[in-house]
Amino acid sequence: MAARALTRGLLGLRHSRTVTLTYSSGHHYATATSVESPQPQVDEYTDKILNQPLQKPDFFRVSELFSLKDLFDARVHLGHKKGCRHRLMEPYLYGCRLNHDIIDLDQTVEHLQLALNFTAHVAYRGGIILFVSRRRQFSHLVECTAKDCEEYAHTRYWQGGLLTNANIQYGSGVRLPDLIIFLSTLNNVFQQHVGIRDAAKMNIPTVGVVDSNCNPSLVTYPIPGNDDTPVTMELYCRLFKMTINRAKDKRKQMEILHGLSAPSTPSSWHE
Amino acid sequence: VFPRISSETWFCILQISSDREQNLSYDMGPAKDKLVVGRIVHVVGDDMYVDFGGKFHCVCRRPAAGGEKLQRGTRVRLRLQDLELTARFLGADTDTTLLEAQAVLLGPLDGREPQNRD
Repeated sequence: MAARALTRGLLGLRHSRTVTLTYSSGHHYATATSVESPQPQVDEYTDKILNQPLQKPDFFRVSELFSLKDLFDARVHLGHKKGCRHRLMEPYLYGCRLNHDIIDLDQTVEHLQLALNFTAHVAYRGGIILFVSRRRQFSHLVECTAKDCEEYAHTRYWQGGLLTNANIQYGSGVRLPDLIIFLSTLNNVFQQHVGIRDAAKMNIPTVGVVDSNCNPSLVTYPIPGNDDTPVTMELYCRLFKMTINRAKDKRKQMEILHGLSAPSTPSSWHE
Repeated sequence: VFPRISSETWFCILQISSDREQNLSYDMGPAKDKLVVGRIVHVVGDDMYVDFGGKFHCVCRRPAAGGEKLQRGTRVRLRLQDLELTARFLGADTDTTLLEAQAVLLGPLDGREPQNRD
């Protein structure tokens, strides 16, 4: 407001300096008020929408989506044989019975809750989520899951520069995913999927289901669990789908709720 | 941080040995020559993929006699050989796994009524 009055006064003076000032003020004159005045209201609005979910530990109540018994019934605890075990998965194993590794479901419950909570927050803020799995047996399931929650999936051959060379391969200004969910962290030759290393390079957080033969070190939110049985994969896909849909619905709900209560802001008209 | 149901720990559930088709019973012992009931989940020509509650399915060939009865969804009796086919090859760090179990197909589950497998 004060800036506008000042530039008006300077315009009247016809000083040589005002030439540049008029240009800059003329350039910004139309936009100055519309950017300045709603600024405090936009902050309050985003404060309610974006910061309020961060106050509670389980804002989206993801811990109600599953129980330990559900994981047991879906055979999440079954690992590979002892000879296939990865050294770094040993902390997540409950034990080994007759040469078969058993994954500790107490830890799986905690890790799954953390991962689902993080996924919900990313979806709440409108982040792009990419589902990746190189298991051909579950490729259709993963693609359908992604379609149902309006996110993206990549279950085909991963080209080398997909994330790291994206600006050249797909044009400049391409938006990379904000979260990558690996429903199986191995590729078809039992090596770690290239996407895990690339996502770590590009600062993209990852959620990954790590079986007893996988390397959990680069995954941001590992979920120790079985990744080979169809029942288990259906459980994971269902949980992720429910979380993402729940988070998106909550966002719409919060926007309507606060859009009605806040004074007239541009974003409320947009809704 | 998240509410924990202390009574429902992993240890408690493992004690409950369930011999439903969903999970193999834990007092089964070694898998060699154990009889289980499985369900055919996929058929490709002569090969049938049978799920018996373990981590992997097993692949059995359709027998010459009585093969038409065995379609997708049929329950069959199996004699397990191995729950996961793995072997350590020379020069490898870890075992190579075939992602499959091995079992011998004994025949369809006949309609003997007292079969409450719940």
